Amino acid sequence: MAAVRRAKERFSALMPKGLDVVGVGIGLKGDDPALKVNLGTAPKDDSLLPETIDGVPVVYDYVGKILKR
Amino acid sequence: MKLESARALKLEIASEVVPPAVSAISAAGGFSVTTFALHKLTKAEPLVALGVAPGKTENDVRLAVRLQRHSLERSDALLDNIRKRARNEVDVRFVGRVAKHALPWYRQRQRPLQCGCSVGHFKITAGTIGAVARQRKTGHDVILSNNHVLANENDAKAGDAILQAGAFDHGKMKDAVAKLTKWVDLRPNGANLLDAAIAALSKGIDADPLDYKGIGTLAGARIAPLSPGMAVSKVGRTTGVTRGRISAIELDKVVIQYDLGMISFDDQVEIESTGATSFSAGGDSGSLILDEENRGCALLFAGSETGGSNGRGLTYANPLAIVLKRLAIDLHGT
Repeated sequence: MAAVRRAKERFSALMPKGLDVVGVGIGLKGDDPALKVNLGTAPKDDSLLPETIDGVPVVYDYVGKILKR
Repeated sequence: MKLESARALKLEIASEVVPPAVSAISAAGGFSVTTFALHKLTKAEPLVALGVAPGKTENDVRLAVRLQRHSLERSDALLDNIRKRARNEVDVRFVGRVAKHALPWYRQRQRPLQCGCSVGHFKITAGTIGAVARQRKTGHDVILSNNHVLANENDAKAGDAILQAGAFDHGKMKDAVAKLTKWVDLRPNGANLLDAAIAALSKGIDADPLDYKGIGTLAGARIAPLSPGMAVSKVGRTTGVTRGRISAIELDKVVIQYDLGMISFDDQVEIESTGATSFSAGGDSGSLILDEENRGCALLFAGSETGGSNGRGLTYANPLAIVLKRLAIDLHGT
């Protein structure tokens, strides 16, 4: 978890500019902790999205608009 | 057959075929009867419903025959006669008694107040009673829900009426059960942590703080930290009881659309459904999220239609510990 928290702090510096981020937190990849990045819209080129940050896997989720319930 | 022919046939069968068949069954012993109060008895009796069903081609139709009694289904004379008159262009089905769709309990008026049911500030549609909690300072019971449910996104004043059921569920001012007491302002600028508010129960309004229908008995608030993968459940005004698992914690930069505009939240909990439907929908706001031991662990307030490993959307919630601290309340059951 500590490694994911560190990756979360480094996230902003490593992500491509203009990414429609609507959430960054600690999730799971399989049974292991991972950095979870929620996107409102898919980026034009997802090959620019890092698969890991400092060895921590990054999971991307396209969640669209989030509304009050 | 043509639509006009089907309409004419409907009238013909209703007046010439059904009555003699019903009389014959009555003469032979009659229909079964369901026991209920006599004052509820009306002249309308479930027998045969007639209509028009799609045919084999776009402009073709068939006579629809819906039987509401097994005795009619077994009446060869009745069905043979109908088939003959319709030249076999008929769609016969047994449908039984048709009951009106009753509203689920969580959208109805509940006295004593029940956690999970409809509630709202008198100017909003409806949200959910998350919990009936105890105010630390006064010891009085309060309804816990969201700011946008009880305080109309900051556009309210202390003492405003809180209705159960909420206005969208036909709650009126006579259904006021509590008065808005305290809320955490939603800030369009900067990071928010909470969408939460409380309302003090009015004199004479009873509540059941421990019963979460369909889930179990509340066992107080969870003290241990939340972790991804944890199983959770909730009962709410729109989707009732649903089950899911925590898909993320410590979620920052969660941007949510309110009437006030886009509002950003930090340190949130994310949940995905483990059932066949989404974990929540509009109107479930304010629901208390319970862990596997029925301890309250988060306060539901937002969601998306897409996302999650099953594509059924995601639900967002405030961690409960900070909600209780900021509003100076405790859950019952501890």
